[in-house]
Amino acid sequence: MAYAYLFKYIIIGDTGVGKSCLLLQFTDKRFQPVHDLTIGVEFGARMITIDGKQIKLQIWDTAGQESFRSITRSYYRGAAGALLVYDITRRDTFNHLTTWLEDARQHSNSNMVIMLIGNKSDLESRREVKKEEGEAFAREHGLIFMETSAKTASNVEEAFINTAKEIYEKIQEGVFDINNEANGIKIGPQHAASNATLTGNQGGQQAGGGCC
Amino acid sequence: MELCAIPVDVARQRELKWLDMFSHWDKWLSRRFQKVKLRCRKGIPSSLRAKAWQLLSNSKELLEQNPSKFEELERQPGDPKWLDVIEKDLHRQFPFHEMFAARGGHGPFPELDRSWRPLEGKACVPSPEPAGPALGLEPQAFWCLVQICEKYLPGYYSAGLEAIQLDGEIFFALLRRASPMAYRHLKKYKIDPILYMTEWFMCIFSRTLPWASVLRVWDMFFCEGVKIVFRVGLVLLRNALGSVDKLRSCQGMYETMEKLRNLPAQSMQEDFLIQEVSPAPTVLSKGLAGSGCGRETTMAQQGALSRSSQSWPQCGTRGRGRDSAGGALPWQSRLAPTPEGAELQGVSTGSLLAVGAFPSAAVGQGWAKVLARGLRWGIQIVWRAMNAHTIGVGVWARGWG
Repeated sequence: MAYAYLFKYIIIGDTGVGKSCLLLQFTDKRFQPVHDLTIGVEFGARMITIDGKQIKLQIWDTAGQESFRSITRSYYRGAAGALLVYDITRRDTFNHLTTWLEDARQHSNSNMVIMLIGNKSDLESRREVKKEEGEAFAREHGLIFMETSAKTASNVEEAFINTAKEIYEKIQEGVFDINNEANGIKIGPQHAASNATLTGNQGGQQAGGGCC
Repeated sequence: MELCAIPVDVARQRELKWLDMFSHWDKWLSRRFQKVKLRCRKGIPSSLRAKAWQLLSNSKELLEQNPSKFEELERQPGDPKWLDVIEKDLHRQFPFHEMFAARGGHGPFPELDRSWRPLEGKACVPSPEPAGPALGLEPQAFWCLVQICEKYLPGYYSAGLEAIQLDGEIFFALLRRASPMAYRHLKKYKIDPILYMTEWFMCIFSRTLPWASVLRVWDMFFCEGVKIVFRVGLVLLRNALGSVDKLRSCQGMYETMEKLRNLPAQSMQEDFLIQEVSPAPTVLSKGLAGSGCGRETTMAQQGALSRSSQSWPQCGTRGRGRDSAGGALPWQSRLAPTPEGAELQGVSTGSLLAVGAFPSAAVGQGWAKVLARGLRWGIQIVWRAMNAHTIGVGVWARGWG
């Protein structure tokens, strides 16, 4: 299907926080409590619409286990957005956020939009991390924040879409060089031609206008 | 099971041949290794597979040398840190496994609070699962696992996964010869080997191939070692991306990855795959001839390898030299002692069990599938909970039907 832009996302976070479940909920609209443990990386894709434009999200779902960390780093390359996930019922997954964030900042491009996600919000009774703590962490590190439940689908759409909106805005502001695929953004095939003439002037803003 | 297509009398003949080999195993291995190899390639009769895998991997000998080690380890307490991780993964991997379901399915597994202790001063080994007598882990399985981790795939499960990354690069270099078209395609879209081969190699295809093919691949793997893993991978890539026609449907990185995650069924089908991996000498593709992966040293030492293996780029001989403790593995008996892996690849040759971390569970997960499919006779591959320094897989080699 034709798209105006393709954004590359990466989902990161400790093992067992629900990364793959979030992806599945977003791409397939279903929840599968028991699934294959991710080895290396999995992929998902979905089309969304922002500002009347078709945007394809290509999502890389990584293995959370420590020993995969070194190869996960190579997946940051060329990602426009990252979903950094922790489990609100497991304090340790929240405590590890700093390490994840360091990794992400170090190995990605500086404009990458990072969304902090406290997953498993349906398990209120087992909550170990307060929502305010998540918010505070996000504020402190300049992230967008949301609590989600891959199980009930609560906020899952919003998480992915809000991240995309943020990226889209950055494109509009001309922050991203959309002609450099290393930024995790690709212009759709039928739009590439019209954009090519425009980007010479002032990058994103006009590229957006050129797509119709 | 996989012998269904073979006439009964042929199957029986094969069994008799294997029984004869069992009774003079050492002689067969030292004097007629080519024949053993050929028979492994033809497929080990399922009724004898369990014993054959144990003999091929030398795990039987290890068990005999350490008769009560397994039980001893079983009695020791575990490290809570790793038990926690194990629990997390068990939960996701064995929801329906009778061993764990008996305890209320997804609940915690208090029985795991057992032991992890250094083995031979360098390694930590997992506690065996005390529950589940019917499917309980057997010492045979445990030692088979130790061999896989320490001898067959050293470093594959270690922190940082250097060995996997290294073999990924070697694999890619080999692909250039095995299928230039696939090579160029992957290069064009900047698809790193670790993106597709990690799961293949770490799980020895148990999460990828259909069951019958998994068994056949493992038959060869236990006999010939990791080079089989390389070959299977090359065959799969060649059949997925090896022609203009095949590439038409996957123009783009994502599309290509999709294709690699959904490989053509035919290319994974037992007969086809085995034929491609281990072709008769006459049908060898010229494109596969030669060495060319920087392993000439060891290759030179492998003069005794069969014609058909010479037709392949030399795969996977890194650091897999003769080992005094576990004894030489079958293919190693054809090798002079090789330099240690550390010198060759710059990674620690400490046993996997010493340096391993925890993709273990993931690996086990694939292998667990093998278990789930259940063989009445033959090998049960069982996920084994292990600590950070071990792989989480147990191979249970025992006919239990």
